[in-house]
Amino acid sequence: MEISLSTTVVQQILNGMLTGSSYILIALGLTLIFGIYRVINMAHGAFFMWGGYFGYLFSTAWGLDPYVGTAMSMVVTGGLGIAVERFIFRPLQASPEWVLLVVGIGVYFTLENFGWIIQGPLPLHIHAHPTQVVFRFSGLYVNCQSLIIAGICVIMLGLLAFILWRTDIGRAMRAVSVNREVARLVGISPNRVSMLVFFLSGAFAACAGCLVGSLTSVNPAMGFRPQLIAFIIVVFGGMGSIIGSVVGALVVGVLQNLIAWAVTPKFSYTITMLMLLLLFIVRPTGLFGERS
Amino acid sequence: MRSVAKKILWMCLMLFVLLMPIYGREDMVHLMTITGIWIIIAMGLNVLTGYMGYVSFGHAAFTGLGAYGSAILSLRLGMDFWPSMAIAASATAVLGALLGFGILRLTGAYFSIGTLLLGEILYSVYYNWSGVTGGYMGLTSLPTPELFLPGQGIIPFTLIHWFYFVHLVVFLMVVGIREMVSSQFGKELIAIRENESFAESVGVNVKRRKIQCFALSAFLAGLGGAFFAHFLESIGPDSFTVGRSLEFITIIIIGGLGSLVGPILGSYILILLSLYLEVLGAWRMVVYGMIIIVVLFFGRGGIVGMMERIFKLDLRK
Repeated sequence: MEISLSTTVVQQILNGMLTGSSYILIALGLTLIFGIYRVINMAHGAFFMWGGYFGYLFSTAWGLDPYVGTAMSMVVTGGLGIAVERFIFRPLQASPEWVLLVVGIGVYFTLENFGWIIQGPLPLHIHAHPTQVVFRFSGLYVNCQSLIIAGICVIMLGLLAFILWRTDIGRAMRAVSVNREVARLVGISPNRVSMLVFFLSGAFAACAGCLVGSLTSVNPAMGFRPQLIAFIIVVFGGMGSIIGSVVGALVVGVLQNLIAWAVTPKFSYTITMLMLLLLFIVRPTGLFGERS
Repeated sequence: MRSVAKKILWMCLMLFVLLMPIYGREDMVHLMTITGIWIIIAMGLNVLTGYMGYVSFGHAAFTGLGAYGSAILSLRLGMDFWPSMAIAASATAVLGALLGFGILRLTGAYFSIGTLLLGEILYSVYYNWSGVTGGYMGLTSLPTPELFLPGQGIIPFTLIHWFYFVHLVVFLMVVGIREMVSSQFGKELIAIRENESFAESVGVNVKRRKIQCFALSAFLAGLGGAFFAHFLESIGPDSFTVGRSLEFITIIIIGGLGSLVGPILGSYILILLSLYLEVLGAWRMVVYGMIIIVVLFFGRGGIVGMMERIFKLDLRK
C-alpha cells in the first residue's frame, strides 16, 4: 500500500504530540517549582530517573500492576522531592541565584550516582502489557502505551488545574507565587506550600519516568537529556506559566519529530535546540511568560 | 610580615614546579601537566564567573572548539602545532565574541540556561558531524609540537617539555590576571558583578566589557582545549559534554570564586579526587556532589575563603 505524504506528516505530528505529552509531565514539575518557589531546579532529572526506578521496583521486581506501581512511585518520589526541598533548598532560600543553581547540580550528581550504585549499569525494563498493542487506523500507527501516556497526561493536567484554581490549597499556592510575605500575613504557611509544590513536582516527574521507562528503559543516566529538554520547554513557554509549558512541550515534541523526518534524524536534536536558543535570546521570558 | 610569608610561599611553589620533572615520578609529571591544562581553562572561566559574575554551564564547548579547531587544522591542512593552536584559540575567541553578542543579552540564571543550551548544541555537533569531527570516535594521531633548542636542532616535545610549557602558561596567566584585576578593565568587570545597572550608570560600557570578557574566557578555553588535544594526541566528544562544563564550574567554586589561586586549588582537588577515589567507582561522584553541597552550605568562598579565615591571608591578590 502506498503511504501518502500527508499521512506521513500527520504520523510525524502525532508521534511528536505523544512524545510531547511525556515532556509535559516533566516540564510541569519544573515550571511549578519555578513559578511558586522561584528556583530553577537542576536536580529535576534525578526525580524523573528515580521515579522510573521505583516504578521498576514496584511493578516488575515486586510484580504489582504497572499502573499501581506508577502511582506508588509517584508518592515515594514526591517524598524525595519534599526531602530535597526541606534539607537543600529551604536553608539556602535567601542565597544568590547561582548558589541555588549549583547546589541543584550537586544534588543531581549525588542522586544520579546513587542510581549507578543501587541500580547497576544495565538498563531495566518496566513491563506494561499495552506497549505490545498497536492501533492502526487510516494508515496511522499508534502504540497503545503512548496513547495511555497522553491520557494520563491530560488527567494530570486536569487534576493540577483543579487543585490550582478550585481548592484552597491551590489558592494558597498561587498567593505564595505572587507574594510570599503577603501570603504569610494572611495566614498561609509558605513552607507548607513549598513542600506541596516539591511533592507534586517529584510525583509528576516520577509519573513520566515510569511511563517512559515502560516504553524504553530505566537507567541512571536517563534523567539528563529530558531535564535539559524540560528546561527549554519551560523557558519556551515562559518561566512559571503552566499553559506555556504544555504548548512548549507539544511544540518541541512535534518539532523534533518533523525535523528528524524532513531534514535528518542525526541533527534533529541540535536544530531544535538551536531554534529554541535563538528564541530564548530574543525573548528570554518566553511566549507566555510575564514581561519583567 | 604577611606579604613576606606569601612571597616565600610562592617561591617554594615555583621551586617545587621547577624541580618536579627532575625528581618526580613520571606519572605524577603527566598528571600535573593535565592538571595544568585544566587550570588554564578554569582560570579562564573564573574571569567570566568569578570576576564578572556570569555562571556559564557550557564552558567545555569552547574548550571543544579550540581542541577540534586545532586538531582539524593540523590534520586536514597539515599545519604545525604552533600556528594551528594560535589560530584555533583566536577563532574560539572570535566565535565567543559573536555568540556573546546574543547570549550576553541574558542575565543571571537565564544566562546559565542559555550557556547550557549552547554547550549541548556544540556537543551534539561534535558528536554527530562525523565527516569533520570524527563523530563519537573523535580524531586521533594529532601531531606533537616541535621545539627549537640550540645545539639539538628541532626536536618534538617530550613530557618534560609539555610540563614546563604548560606551567609557564599558567604562570603567565597568574601574572596577567593579577594585573587585569587591578586594572581599569578588571575593576569594571567586578563592578558589573556587583551591580550591573549601577556600573552602567557610572559610565562603564557594560555591553562591550561583557563581550570582551566572554571572548577572553573563550580564548583561554580554546587555548586549553588545543593543549589538551595535542598533549593527549587524540580527542573525542565525551571530553566536551555539559557534564564536563559543570565540572569546571565546580572546580572554581570549590577553589574559591573570583580569586587567583582558587582555580589552581580546585583543579588539584578534583584531579586528586578522581585519582584516589577511583576505587570507589560510582561513589566518587556521590562524594563529589556532596562536596559541592557542603561548600555551598558552609563555605561559599571555597577553599580560598576558608584559608583566608584561618590564616588571615589575603589570597585574592
